Amino acid sequence: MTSYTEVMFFKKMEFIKKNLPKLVFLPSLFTIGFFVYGFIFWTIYISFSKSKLMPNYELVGFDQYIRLWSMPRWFVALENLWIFIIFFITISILIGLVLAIFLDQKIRIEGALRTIYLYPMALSFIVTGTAWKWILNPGLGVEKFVRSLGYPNFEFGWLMDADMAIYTIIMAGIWQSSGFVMALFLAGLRSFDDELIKAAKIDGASLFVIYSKIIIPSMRPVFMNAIIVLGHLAIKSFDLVIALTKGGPGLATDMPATFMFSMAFQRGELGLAAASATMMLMTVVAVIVPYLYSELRKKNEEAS
Amino acid sequence: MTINKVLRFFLYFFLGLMAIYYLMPLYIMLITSVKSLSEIKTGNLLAFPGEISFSSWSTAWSKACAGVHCVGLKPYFWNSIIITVPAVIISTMVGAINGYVLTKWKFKGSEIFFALILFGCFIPFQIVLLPMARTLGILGLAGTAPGLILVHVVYGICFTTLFFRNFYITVSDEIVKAALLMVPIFLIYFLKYYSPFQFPSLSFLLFGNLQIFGMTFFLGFLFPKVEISL
Repeated sequence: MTSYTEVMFFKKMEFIKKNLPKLVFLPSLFTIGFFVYGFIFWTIYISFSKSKLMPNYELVGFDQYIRLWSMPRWFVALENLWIFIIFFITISILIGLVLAIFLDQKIRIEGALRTIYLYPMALSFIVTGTAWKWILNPGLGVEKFVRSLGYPNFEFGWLMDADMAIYTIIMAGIWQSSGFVMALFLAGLRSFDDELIKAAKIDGASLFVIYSKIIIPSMRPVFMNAIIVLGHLAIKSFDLVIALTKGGPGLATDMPATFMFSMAFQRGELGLAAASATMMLMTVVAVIVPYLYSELRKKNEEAS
Repeated sequence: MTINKVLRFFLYFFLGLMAIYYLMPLYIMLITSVKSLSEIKTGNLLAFPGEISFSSWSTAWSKACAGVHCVGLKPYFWNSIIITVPAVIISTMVGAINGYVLTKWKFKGSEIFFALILFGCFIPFQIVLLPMARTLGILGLAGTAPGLILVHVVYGICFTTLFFRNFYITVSDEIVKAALLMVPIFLIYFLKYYSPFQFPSLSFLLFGNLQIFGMTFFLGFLFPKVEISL
């Protein structure tokens, strides 16, 4: 005979056993819900309020966005971001693809080369940025070096030039990320069926034709992955700018990320900062959500 | 055959050139750190140092000034360790549990939760910057090690969950079933049967987190002398 308390105990055990996965998962869910989604909601709310130095919960509609979109500095930041995205993504993919194809030719010291190409991604740019600053400094780096080779009129002062400084950030960004793109493409090349290549060779196709007509077109998903990863890195890029130019000369290399930081912590414009952060989030959402959706759906289809 | 050899030579030449390009900043950092101050001012950035001196290293470690505090890198380095070690351990453990639940122990709606967590990997941190600063202020954690640990754990969970989920997908269900039969309590069999498999992801996470917190201050502080002289 079982007592009432024993029945209750077993019922409780049954409940815990059935819902254990959810219970284990719950703390993380609350954490993410609060610190990610709750915070996003708070920032979006603030972007519609009249907050200045301190948060003010009085709503004013789209005022902050109208102010944001009438600021020349915001347009400078957007233009820089646009230039950065275009050059950074195309050149990184180009270098990454070429390096991956070359490394895939049964190179003897491939392991060592791969590590060398990849290490910039592993070091924080706050660190390597210092060396880049020296290299790009006219009185210290490339300019001085080429002049000492016997070209006294050679000039390379992009870092100090308001029109060209953004390209030095692009150069450093490519240096940092192209090795990572190489790794993505190399993984794609390695998963390619060798039999197909052999068959094409027997049919008399040259190596160039095999790559340009067969292998590279088949790697469309890898291109997609690379563009997504590089694109969202570009939108978030903050340390590159801070380490190299601090947004200068003047405001010439301001980006949305540095714009938001300066509005929030230097100018005391919380509403504007929140509005610009919301614009950044929307851009990332527009890029990432369709991608995640298609990826997750693809995986589910494969599984079923 | 000779054309092929020329091509191979070109291939190695190009790859070597690219290797030099990637190594250049690291080479410059290391070479400059062992030069004397006068040599840095007058000499070539790429040139090998006339004589190697490690005095800047010891200055950076214990005497260099950041602002008005002339204590060098030592206390900052200690801070990075205090922050990195707990942050990595906690976020890795939480990620391992989440990854397990999302692959081997699915429940209704778990896919949606995974999508929500996955999205957390991609958000620009500017969107959480203001509320995070306020929350830390209210909790009295602003500018403290526990505050930074909290930040890194919270936003690390997204990444660790993703890594472990992708890893557990490759572990067969049979191992899980065997484990389930033997020890029915989740946490125990989790620790007992899964820990040996976790090392590849684990080392990656350690590495990833170290680069963000530890190395930043470590290498960045090695060369204050040159910064001042410029």
